Amino acid sequence: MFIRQKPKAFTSVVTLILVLGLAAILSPVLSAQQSSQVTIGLVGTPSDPFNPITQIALIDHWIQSILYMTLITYNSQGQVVPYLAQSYNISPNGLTYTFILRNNAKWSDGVPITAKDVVFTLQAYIQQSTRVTSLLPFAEKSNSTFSGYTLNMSTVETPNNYTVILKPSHSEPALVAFFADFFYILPEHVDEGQNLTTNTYINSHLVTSGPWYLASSSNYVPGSYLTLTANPYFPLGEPAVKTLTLQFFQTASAAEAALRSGSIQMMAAVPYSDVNSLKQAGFTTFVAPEYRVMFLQFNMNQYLSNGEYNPLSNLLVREALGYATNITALVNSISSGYFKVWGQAEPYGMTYLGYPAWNSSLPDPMFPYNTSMANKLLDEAGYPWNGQTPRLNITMITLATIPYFVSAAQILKSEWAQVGVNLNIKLEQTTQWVYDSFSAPQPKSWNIDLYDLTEPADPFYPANFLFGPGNGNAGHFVDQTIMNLLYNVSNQVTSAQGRAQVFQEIDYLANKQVPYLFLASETEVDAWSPQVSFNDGIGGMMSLPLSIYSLSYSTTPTTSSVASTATSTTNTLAIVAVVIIVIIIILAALLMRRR
Amino acid sequence: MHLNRGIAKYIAKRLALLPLTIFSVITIDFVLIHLAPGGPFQILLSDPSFSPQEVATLQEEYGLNKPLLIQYFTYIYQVLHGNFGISYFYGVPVIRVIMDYLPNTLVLAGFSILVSSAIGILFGILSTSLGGLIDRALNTLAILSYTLPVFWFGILLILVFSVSLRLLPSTGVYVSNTGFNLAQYLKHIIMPTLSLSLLLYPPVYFFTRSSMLEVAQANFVRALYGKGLSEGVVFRKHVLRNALLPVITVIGLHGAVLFGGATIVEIVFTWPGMGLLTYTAILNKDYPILLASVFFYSLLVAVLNLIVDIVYVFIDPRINLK
Amino acid sequence: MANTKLNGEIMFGISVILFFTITSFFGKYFIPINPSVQHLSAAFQPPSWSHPFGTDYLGRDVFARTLEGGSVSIEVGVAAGLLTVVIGGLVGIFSAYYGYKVDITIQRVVDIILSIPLIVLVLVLVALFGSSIALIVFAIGILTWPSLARITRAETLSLKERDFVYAEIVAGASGIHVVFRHLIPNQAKTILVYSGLAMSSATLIQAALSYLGFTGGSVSWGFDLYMAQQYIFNGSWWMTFFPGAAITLTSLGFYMISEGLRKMWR
Repeated sequence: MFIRQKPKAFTSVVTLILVLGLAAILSPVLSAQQSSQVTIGLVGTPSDPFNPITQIALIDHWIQSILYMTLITYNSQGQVVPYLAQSYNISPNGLTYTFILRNNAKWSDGVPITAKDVVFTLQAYIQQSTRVTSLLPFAEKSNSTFSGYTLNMSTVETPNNYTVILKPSHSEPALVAFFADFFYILPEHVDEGQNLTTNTYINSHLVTSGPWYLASSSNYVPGSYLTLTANPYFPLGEPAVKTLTLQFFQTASAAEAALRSGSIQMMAAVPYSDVNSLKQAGFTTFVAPEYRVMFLQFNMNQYLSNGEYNPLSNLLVREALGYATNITALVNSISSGYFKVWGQAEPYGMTYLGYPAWNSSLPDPMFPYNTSMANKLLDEAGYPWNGQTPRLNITMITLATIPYFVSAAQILKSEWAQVGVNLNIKLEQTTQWVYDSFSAPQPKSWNIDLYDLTEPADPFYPANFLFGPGNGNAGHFVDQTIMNLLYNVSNQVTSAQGRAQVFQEIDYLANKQVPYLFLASETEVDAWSPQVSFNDGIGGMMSLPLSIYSLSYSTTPTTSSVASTATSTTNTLAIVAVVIIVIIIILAALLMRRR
Repeated sequence: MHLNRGIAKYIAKRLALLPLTIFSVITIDFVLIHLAPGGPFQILLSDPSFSPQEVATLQEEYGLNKPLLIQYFTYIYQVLHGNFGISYFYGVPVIRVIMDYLPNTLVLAGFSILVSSAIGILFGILSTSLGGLIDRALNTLAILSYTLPVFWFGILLILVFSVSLRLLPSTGVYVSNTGFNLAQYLKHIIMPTLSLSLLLYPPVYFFTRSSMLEVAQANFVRALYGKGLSEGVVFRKHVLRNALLPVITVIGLHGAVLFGGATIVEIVFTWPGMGLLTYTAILNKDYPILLASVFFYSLLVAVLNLIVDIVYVFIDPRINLK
Repeated sequence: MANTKLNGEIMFGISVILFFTITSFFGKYFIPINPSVQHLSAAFQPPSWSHPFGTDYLGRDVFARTLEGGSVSIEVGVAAGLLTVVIGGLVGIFSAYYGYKVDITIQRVVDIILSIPLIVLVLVLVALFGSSIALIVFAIGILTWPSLARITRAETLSLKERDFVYAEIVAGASGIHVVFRHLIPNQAKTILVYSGLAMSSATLIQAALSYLGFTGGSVSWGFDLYMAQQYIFNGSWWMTFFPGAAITLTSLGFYMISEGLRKMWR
């Protein structure tokens, strides 16, 4: 029509954009990656990454295990080894714990780590954290602290700057796992007298002791990533990886995308359905056994928070739901076979000094799949069914952020509909779910809660969480026999096998009342690029921090298929893209000159 | 001289209206949040360890035990001093988190405006100069782009370019241990930009096309041809400038759309910008961050509108500044 | 008289919407495959004769889910679109009619609402007050009306000056009378055209909300897309493609009706 000439400025802008785009596409994915920098992808958002006192979530726990030292820790074979302590000794009667600290350990601000840090930490945990229940052997009541307890000073001795002798008021074998897993030593010279029940102080005064530390606060972008620098004062020697970045992702598939494209070198907890394709793409995958059991937690109260009667308070109903579920098919479907079908509280592999704490006489799955049995039990419970309208309406909450929970919930809904039970699924975000599950007062608002539980490596902890008096036992399952076994018997038994058998007995007793429908004992699959290697030969995220500490990364030109496939595909397609774009430009130019 | 004074007055008047809008936004937001069931207290109680004593301390620390009106005025006062409080979820000052995320949104928005304008104008020119089948094809394409869910388009891009072709990374801003690498950064921003541009270009296209059609027939263009000016000059100086007016209007009107679309794109691609921050703040019930990000959104949109209005004044000599 | 023959756009739009309405609300009576039945061992199956669109992560048939999953989208699209049009139309007209203080106040409100991204506002409302369908319709409706309000206001302002309206006002007719007898009927076409646009964007917003997890409880295309993205790496492109195409078609259908009406009456 009336247009003859191309507007020059406009053309230049368009050309510039196209050129930039091309340049970006053509550059190889793995450029400029140096051997001393590694990025690990984690799924979830840390909210308490620096404060062991307030930490609840697993992701915060991982970060703290890299930042802070505990007195002892686990190696990749699962054995307890000294860490901040250079040696330790536990008396046979369990009443004396002696820790000899290393004399060359320093905080990230250069101050030496000494016994008074340990004592301060013990005091802080007892006075300010929820974990006080695990430390009761060292505590005495107090009116002036947050928790209502304070450190009983007669249980602690420090003969010199590097020796700490702890004398619990009664023997508690579970303390070992606590010291190895949760007891992160805090700096007395920074945190003494501070309120650690919120994160504000610690987040702005961060002094740590682990293999990496936070060199500057701008290296932490909340919700996005955390870049740590190798700690030259670390007593086991500075780690090989000088810069370790932890990048946080909302979903597993987002993290996996980053792994596949090379933006991150390692990922914890890959989706189970993708393990095979990751292997084919050249990544190393590692199946890590976890002390993690997945279950349905039943609300045992007679009424819900809104006053409605709770059908789950009837044992027959709980059993019926068990029979109505094809547990084996469900577990295999959601985990692509990586979970073990499991029917009790103690996870598979949980031992005490080598003796299994799980009860092998209990069946896996907990109930066989038998819909006629389920129907019979529901009829008996007083819920007849005409085959049309649902005989029961129940509500289940679970985390929306974990795909295999979402899948499991939908499978349950479909299976239970076959026996006339209508399941309302409420998918909740983390904050809301934590509140509804643990913080909301009894009785709760839900009939069933679906989740999984990770606890330290002592059989005491799963049982304590699920059957004890704390908030974890949200379904309010109270059994005095079990509690007695748990709190009075398990720590008094002298033989290791005897103690393990106490927990087997607990599992057996608990299952008779079906407060939980146990589904699976989980494993986690970690994946990393073939250029990542671990000096301990095993690696993965299993035994933090030592496994990560042994991390190293090599940039030697790779024989792996990952980079090579990308490069050759990149090249071919880049050439095609260039040709197409050039044609478009020429066409546009020609057309605009027309008429 | 008259022109400059007029412009200055105009700008001053527009600037004066800004605070009113923003204050209203903050007030509404404040009220909404305190109306919510469970209120801001819920997040505090989400740690099962909190004894009543601890809850009281926390309420003290966040000032939640004061009457609502005092909380409101305290908040306004603090905002004026750049203090947006401490994030409930992250435990760090809100302003710090915002400053970490805001630039990413600006970059994404900036690139997307560039790309969508380029596409929209290009298609508009092609439509009007070629007409016929091409015009109808581009028209249909624009409608389709308008009705396509932007998050679906993003997922499809991921499917094609990240999963199948393995050409482009599909998530996150580029986190570098080695310092800034332009190629990598661009690689990460291409797909989010393309997705957002898909949402933004149709209005630009439609307006360019219709305004070029109008202007082409306008008498004054014919008059200019009659005067003997070459076509190129006519085009550059008059047609294009008049045609661009609506385009800039569209960009201005769509300030909220721009940032809203950016929100969805950021979530799909896990691009750490204001949208993702706001979304996670809503999920985490992190009210300090939520309040602050709503504030910044309205600030951004208002500033964008202001810039558009000012550019308008300079481009269109016909505007009456009274 | 303008061309009143139903043009291509309207036919397309009506047939698409009608199609999905029938399959979503009545599909269970004649579609042979059940969209909720799970075949756990047959998950991630590619399209085949027995499953034309393949199966999803729980072995459910994607074809049936695509056809029958539109009930929420269409409900919300129509309801929220109507709500938007009603509020926007009335507010715009009254604002221009009464003028002065009323007008200025409403303009401020419109500015405020327009200065915050829609999605953010809707998310805040939904997150604070729960995600039932009623609330989603309400949230979309009360947040998208400003655009229409601006249009009706402008038109009303010009209509106000016209002789016949002026005569009525001078004769003492009440505001309601003038509005409903003259202002609305004269803008009826504009409003109807806009309603198609409003329904189109309401559908998209609802899809985005259910993608983000706020489904309002039932099967929904957006949520299927969310789960599809979780499994994107095992190559099951059909889980992503078909639900998204359905959303696009539905939204396009509403838009085409609007576009067709506009062409018809211009």
